[in-house]
Amino acid sequence: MRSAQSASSLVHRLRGTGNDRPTVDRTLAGGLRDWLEDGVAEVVALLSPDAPPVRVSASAITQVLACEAHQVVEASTERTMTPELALGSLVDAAFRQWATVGHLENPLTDAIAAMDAAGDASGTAAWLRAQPKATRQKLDEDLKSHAARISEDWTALSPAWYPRTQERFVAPIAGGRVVLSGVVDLALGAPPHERASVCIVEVKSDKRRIDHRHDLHYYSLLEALRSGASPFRVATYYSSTGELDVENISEELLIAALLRTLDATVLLCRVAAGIEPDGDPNPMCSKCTGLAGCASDFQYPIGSVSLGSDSRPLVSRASQ
Amino acid sequence: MSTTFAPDLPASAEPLRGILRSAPLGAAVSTAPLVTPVPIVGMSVTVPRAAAVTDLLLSPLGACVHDSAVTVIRSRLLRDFPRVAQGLRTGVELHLGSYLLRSALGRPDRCSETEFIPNPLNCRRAIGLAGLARSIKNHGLPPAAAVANLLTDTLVDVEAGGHNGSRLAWWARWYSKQEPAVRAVVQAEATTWATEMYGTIDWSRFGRRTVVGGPDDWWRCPTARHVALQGRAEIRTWVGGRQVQLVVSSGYPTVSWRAELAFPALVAALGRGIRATPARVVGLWPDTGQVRVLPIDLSTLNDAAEGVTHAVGVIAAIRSAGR
Repeated sequence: MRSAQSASSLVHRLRGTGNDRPTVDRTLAGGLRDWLEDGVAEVVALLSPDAPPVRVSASAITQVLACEAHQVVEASTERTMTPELALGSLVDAAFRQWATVGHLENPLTDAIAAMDAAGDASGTAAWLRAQPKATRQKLDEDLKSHAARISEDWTALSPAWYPRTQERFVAPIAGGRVVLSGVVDLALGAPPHERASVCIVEVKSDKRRIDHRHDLHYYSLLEALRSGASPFRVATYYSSTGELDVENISEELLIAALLRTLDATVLLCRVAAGIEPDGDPNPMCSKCTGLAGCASDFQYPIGSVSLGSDSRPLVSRASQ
Repeated sequence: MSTTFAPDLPASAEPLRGILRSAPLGAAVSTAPLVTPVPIVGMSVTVPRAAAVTDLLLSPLGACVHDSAVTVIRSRLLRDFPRVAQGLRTGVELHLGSYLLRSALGRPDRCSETEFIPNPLNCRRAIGLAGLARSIKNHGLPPAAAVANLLTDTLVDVEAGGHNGSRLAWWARWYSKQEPAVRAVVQAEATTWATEMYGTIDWSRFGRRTVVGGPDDWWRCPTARHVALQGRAEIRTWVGGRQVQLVVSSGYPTVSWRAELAFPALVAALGRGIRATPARVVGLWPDTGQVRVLPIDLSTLNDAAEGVTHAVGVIAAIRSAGR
């Protein structure tokens, strides 16, 4: 069992000290917003005037940059729940309970009750009830293991750190015709004044992936647009291993996040405007639910070695 | 319509002039019921935000609305409401609050008759606001601690059955019946709401008369008694002896934002007279960091009355068709 010292060290890594926190550049957020507005102006003109807003999320960005056709399929089909996805939702619920009240009694029962009470938007609670006993038992064991890790690694969060869970960031651009949004598992720190003061944390139940960092950079961009200052630090906590991937947010990272977001937003707008999505063969094709009907001229060879999400094209078509 | 900036823009909001160059959200407002060119400030980014938002709330006010104007508006609603509300089911009351108004003006499909069932999301504002009030009252008590204390005290009050002199909030009994895991979600939602709000305002600049939360304003139409308007504001404070309000909404400002901000002012005017009518309503959308300022004048109230009449008609038609 880990010591209280390691838990306190984890929190210290998230909060750092005042010296770690950069001075807020008061002009940066306005510049980022202008950049986004300019970048989407042309493609937004393609949308029909009564079209609903184009919704941009971290997952939509990842999907559309990997393959437009894949994103269209994903957006139009109901998500198929899997034990891995269910575990992710259960861990999120358990972590939120821990961060709020500082204890976990029966993680599975508690998480299901929490999800039911909040409307079970992901459908996880309903899916779990329909599963055979063996599946539920396995998930119960897995969740207990993740919950135990969370309890060991995290100290109770002091109210003085202004902890908030499931904080929502929304950035409407182009007159609200495009809406960027995201929800972070945990945000710490008072609103920024002279120095950036917020740290955001995402909790993941699966393995470490480069996408997780991209997601956090995107959330940092949204926080900058929302509050005028980006977080000074972001982190992904892996509840299966206890790893904490911490990263300081710099102006360069924010700009990279903006470019990636802009690339994806342009593609999402093109799709929303009715332009035929391009297929972009990649190692994830074998997992795409739209593979059978894919109009792409060639599909990535099935059975080839998966290179993971890192194999996404370095330059998306939008910027070519 | 392009967004124009208030001539008396507070110093802390000056940098915003260059930021909202095209006011894209404001552009959609031209079709909204409120068409008078009202000076507004749209704000999305400035640091520290608390100082800028507080400046917008407390900056000097313009001209007053005359009492006779409210009398005219009231007469018009007394005449129009029975007609537009005809489709409502007999014996069923329509409580028109800001959410339903927003739906009627933008998403009529959400106006069907539904029973209100408390859950952590729809209780978050009420509990968060009560926690925030406690936090402000106990100078510096962090919102997370204030919400936790509030919920603990609520359980004690419910247990005492009201015999300890406390008045139970509408959500108290529901909360007390929830299992611990659900209570934790309720606490988490309210804490996040209260913490976001706590950091948005410079609380040290408000006088003792400032009300955080406080009772809603109500106006029941005497000629259509099944229709009641509910005006809600998160903060009520005074500038030069006149009331100003801060109203918090989720999501982002939609085309109906001006009607939504004018609505609580209209209800206050109808329910409690011109002295209780705010001279300004500041709208805050914490999810986006956006702020809108709406000075309340005669044309604003007139347009708000038109918007409300339209909304009641839309709701009545939808509920009538749904039966």
